[in-house]
Amino acid sequence: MTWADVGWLVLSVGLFLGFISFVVLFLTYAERKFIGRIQQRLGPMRTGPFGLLQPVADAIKLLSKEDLVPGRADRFLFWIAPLIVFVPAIVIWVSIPFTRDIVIENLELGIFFVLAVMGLSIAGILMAGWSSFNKYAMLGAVRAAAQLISYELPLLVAVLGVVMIAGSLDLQVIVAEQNTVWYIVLQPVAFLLFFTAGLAEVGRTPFDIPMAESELIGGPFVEYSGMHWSMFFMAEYANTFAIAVLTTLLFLGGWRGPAPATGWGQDVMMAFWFLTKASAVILVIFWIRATIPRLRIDQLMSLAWKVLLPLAFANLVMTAFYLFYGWPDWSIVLLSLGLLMATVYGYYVRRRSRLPRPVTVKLRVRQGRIVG
Amino acid sequence: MLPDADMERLLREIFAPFDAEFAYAVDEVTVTVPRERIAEACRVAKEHPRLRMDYLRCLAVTEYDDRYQVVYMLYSIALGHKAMLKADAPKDDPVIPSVVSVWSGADWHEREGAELFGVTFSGHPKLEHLLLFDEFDGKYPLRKDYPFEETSEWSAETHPQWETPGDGR
Amino acid sequence: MVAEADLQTVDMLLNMGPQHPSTHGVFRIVLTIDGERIVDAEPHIGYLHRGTEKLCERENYRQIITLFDRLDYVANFNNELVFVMAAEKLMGLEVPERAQFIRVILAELNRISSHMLFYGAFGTDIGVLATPFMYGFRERERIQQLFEAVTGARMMHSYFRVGGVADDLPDGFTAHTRALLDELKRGVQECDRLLTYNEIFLERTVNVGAITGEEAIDFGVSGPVLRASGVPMDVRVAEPYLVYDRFDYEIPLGKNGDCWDRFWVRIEEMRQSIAIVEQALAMMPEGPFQAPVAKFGFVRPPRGDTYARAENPRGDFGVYLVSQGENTPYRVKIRGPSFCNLMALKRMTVGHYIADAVVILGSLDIVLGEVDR
Repeated sequence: MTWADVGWLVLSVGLFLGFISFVVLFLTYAERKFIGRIQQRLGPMRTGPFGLLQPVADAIKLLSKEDLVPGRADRFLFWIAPLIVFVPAIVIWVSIPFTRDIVIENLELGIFFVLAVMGLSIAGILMAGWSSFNKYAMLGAVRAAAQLISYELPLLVAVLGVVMIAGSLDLQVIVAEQNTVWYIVLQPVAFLLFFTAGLAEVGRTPFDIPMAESELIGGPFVEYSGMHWSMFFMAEYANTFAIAVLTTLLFLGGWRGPAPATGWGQDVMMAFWFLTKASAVILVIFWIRATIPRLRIDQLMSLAWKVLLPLAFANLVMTAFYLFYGWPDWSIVLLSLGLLMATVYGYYVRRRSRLPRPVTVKLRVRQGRIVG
Repeated sequence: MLPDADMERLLREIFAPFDAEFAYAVDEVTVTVPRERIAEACRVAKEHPRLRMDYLRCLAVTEYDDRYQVVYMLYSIALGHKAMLKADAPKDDPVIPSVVSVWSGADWHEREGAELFGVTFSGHPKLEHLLLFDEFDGKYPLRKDYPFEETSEWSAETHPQWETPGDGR
Repeated sequence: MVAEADLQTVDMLLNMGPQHPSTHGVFRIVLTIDGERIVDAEPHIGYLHRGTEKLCERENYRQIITLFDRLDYVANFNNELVFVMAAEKLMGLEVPERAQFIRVILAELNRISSHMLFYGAFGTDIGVLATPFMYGFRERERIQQLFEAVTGARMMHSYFRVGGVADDLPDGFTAHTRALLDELKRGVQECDRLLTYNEIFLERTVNVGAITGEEAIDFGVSGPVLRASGVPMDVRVAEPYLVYDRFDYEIPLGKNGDCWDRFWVRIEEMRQSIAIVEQALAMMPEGPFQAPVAKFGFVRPPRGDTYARAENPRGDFGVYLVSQGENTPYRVKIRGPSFCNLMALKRMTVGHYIADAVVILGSLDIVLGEVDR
């Protein structure tokens, strides 16, 4: 390792950290604006033009707040837990490529590394919940552990289908292999599974059960304040962005635009398409957050184990047959659509059996007398 | 729904063995029953096929100069008629049988009456403070002799138990 | 290896409130939980106890109206109404017809605005990030602007008087209210479509916190919660007051008595209230808006006692009024519907999950102002 290598590493890591921090700050602003619009209000407007300085104001506020530690908390664990959540959320960006050329260190095991490191944060959340000496935090941490461990499985098995088709764990290769057709076409089931399980993995609505403001008032983070709290917060947004980016890389063709990017400025074009797709996914996540209620913990677990995991395995087996016998592409598309339709049909049968509409009646009142 | 006169006749018939007095509270008949038989009377009102007063609208305690009066406002959802039962307790012995076993909904009304008026509802499963805090000094705020204007300062001297060492919980 | 029989589990006490975002004020419930499941629930109330009943014994009848505004502080008109009705009943006072129509219109609009608050709070309890809340408050704001035009206050109106209302309606009230009703119809429809048949919403509410009609009656539960259990009890029909016997409307009834039924009943009630207001606007006569007694304020009911009740947004709101012939009441007992509905909370929550406790409490739609009084 030469000094130039070290210098490059420091520079690129610094650049990426800066970029990720910027993205996280911007995401908080974008979420508030976007959800504000959904709710027929403007969102932040007072700080700077269109409220653009709101994240900066928030950051300053959080930095200047007192860092409270509960009297009977386990001080060391309480202090270190946010770091354990925050560091994996940043480390994964080491091997996530933004374009063909912009990546700190592309790994052959790229997607494996990313998902493995993302799974580490559960340790920090458990520590936070345990060390806070608060029952709400403890309940939240236990919920978080159950949820994250359950949803790792469908997430990984869904990714396996993509990896099998691409024949590599390298994210660069996976994107390169999508030059003819995006994997959302070949693997629609895996796409939906990955997106759903990804939401659960980062604890976004409707899977924000560990946090659950209306029940557990913030779950594991209930006792945190100031900078420590904002680290959890930043980790959550960095992970949300990571899920959007991974969805883009694995299923939406990564940085591929309508026309192949060539020549001078190709990196700019690739980055543009990449960020556009990732932003679209992010907006869908925000949209879901603004409109869908939260599941209950038992419903969450039964969704993971009874619906997502069987679907993921079915998809895996299907993909294996497709690859082993060299079936044409349209066969896997048809099979996937069949699987999806069967799922939707099963959902409708279940829904119809539970729909409460016919059991309610109305009494008609005419001139103050009940007539019907 | 029966006209008041018919209702009075019906109530007179049913509550005849109860040694009851009858009167009107504007638009409904009131039946005043000796206090030791009030729970029994309530059960009759609830279960008698021609009354079926299954719904306890309200339970109020009132302090008069010489007695406490507990009023049970009853209503029959099925038959649509209403009546009030009343029972008096003397001031020196404010005890009234509880009717929680007849209507579960009497629970908090009775607890409230007990803590605000000092009327003991005998047979109530859990006659604890409801609205007031547990350390309240035991007087009964809704009695007429409870002072309006008198205020007392809460401090560590008057309530040493409130000065908890700061363990944060 | 440890045999399973050697492992001991201990129930945990979880204290919710009085500071908790989902307790709708300062309500406290101590849950005994086994894992996530509720084994026992012990409600504690009284954090907002202001001694209203005691204060009523000192103030005169006109002043007491302001106290009633502060009981159920999201259905102010309905509260005022019950108190003035009790006093009028005791005095045998005939209220001018126009005043009765004004009261009906305002009370029903207040019901809509109260149910809209329920809608928003329930959506938040169930975990949607504030979108139902904003939808509900948008409609509520429109109604409150109308109230402000009529009474000069957005919440604590003090507008009803014994014998009528304080002042006549402002110019253009009818046209303005008609326009408002059209907007409300759209608003209710939007709110309905956002949540009612959402899959996760159904999962969270159907068969949660169910209570049968018999049990509900036994606990003295009233209002939408009772009707969700299938009991056809509505004071507007059971004991008609004001001019409610002149309108055509429907009373929605649930069947299971679960949280979804309660939600649905309230959504439908908003539609019915709109229908009632429409009819009342069309039928409203000209004439005096108060009896002379209201103008001069000499309210001195004769010796006696009475019980008046009305169908509030939360249920059967009752006032037991005892007068000794003075200008202040001798005793006022307030029966808040939330107070009685809350008694059934323990019965509803035991056996469910922690998350359900929040939803069930939300579906009861309590207002602590009238629970603690």
